Amino acid sequence: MNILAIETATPGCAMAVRTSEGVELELVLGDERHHTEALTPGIRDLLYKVKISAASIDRVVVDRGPGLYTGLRVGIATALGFSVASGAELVGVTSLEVLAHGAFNSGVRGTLVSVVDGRRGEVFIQIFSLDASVLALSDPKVALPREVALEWNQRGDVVTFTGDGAARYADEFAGVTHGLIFNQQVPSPLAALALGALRAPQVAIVPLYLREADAVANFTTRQPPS
Amino acid sequence: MNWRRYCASAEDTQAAGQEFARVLRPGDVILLSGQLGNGKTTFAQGVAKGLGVRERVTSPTFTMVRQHECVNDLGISMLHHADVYRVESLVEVRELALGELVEDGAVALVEWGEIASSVFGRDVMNVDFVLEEDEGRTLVVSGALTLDRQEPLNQWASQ
Ligand SMILES: Nc1ncnc2c1ncn2[C@@H]1O[C@H](COP(=O)(O)OP(=O)(O)OP(=O)(O)O)[C@@H](O)[C@H]1O
Ligand SMILES: [Mg+2]
Repeated sequence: MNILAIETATPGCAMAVRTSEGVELELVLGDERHHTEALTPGIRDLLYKVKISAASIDRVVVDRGPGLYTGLRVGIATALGFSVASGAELVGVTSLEVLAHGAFNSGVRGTLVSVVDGRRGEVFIQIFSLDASVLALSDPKVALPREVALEWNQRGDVVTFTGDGAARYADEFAGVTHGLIFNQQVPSPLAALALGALRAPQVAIVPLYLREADAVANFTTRQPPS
Repeated sequence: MNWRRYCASAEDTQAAGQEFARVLRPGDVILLSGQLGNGKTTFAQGVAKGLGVRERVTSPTFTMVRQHECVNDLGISMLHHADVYRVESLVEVRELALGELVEDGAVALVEWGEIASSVFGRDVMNVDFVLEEDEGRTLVVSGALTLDRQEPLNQWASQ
């Protein structure tokens, strides 16, 4: 099975491919937020290097967030394009779990908090246990960096923070007594691919925004024209 | 903490906007709130002037958002002026991706922005337009972004 992975949840634009012969290759482009221009040519180059055609992609694994909205839009639309054009299967993974697996693959063990930059002073976080395998200990949620740091200071446990949110708010997270930072700005597309290779294909990929829940209620505060 | 400035006329509201440009930094998202006709667009026109926008700035009520190029020494090269009064759902507001677009040396002014504040997150400034009995307006500035703008805001409020 030829598998393509698309990673656009952060300012980096990244992709990976695994051919049915087991050849793996990834391409991680800079953190310039130019997903629209960079993604498709990047995929073309990647496929050229492993000598398979776009039509022969059997499955596309795509990061569905949470993360950079403009990036997710491009990534998911591109994945859908493959599925429409050549019937490729689709699998969604989350940025937070891909970060956890990336850290795990690099040898990080113990408690890990994946931290994705949510913009405007907020981060998306999820807690994992990295032991024999990667286990989620909480659901993804929106949080303030300072509050996350405070919480872990109070817990006093050894913990590793990773992701572009951990880097952006390094000041906060470096202050946690038993806190470490594992530098990982872009979720690894190869980790996403490995994760997505094991899952059942999905009919639809829905972006994970995390900022929806309390949304609609606010509209009732809008006063009708007087 | 908040900053207030009373504006007796539309000209005053515009001047308040023009001087507010000096409070702004690239990456800012400003939510303008207040009842219909309380001066949000008038204020935005002033901000545009203060940011060195050449073209005419009109209400984006029907287009949802307009982009205006800016020429100034504040490092702000683009003004995104939005009005989300007509949106039906937050999805539409999110589609505008304003919080991310401002990272390219821009600022965003969002009329009726507070109805969609969950899309924008914590680091925003709010400007509230309150209609007074004499038909003047009091502008009230608050929000997490004000924390490191106290100096220019003091100056702005004392005019
Ligand atoms: N301080 C003021 N005193 C008196 N009139 C004012 C003042 N500021 C603005 N106005 C007037 O109020 C009217 C409505 O202003 P404006 O269009 O800016 O409101 P708005 O808040 O953008 O409305 P909407 O909610 O429809 O977008 C205009 O005629 C404007 O000149
Ligand atoms: Mg208006």
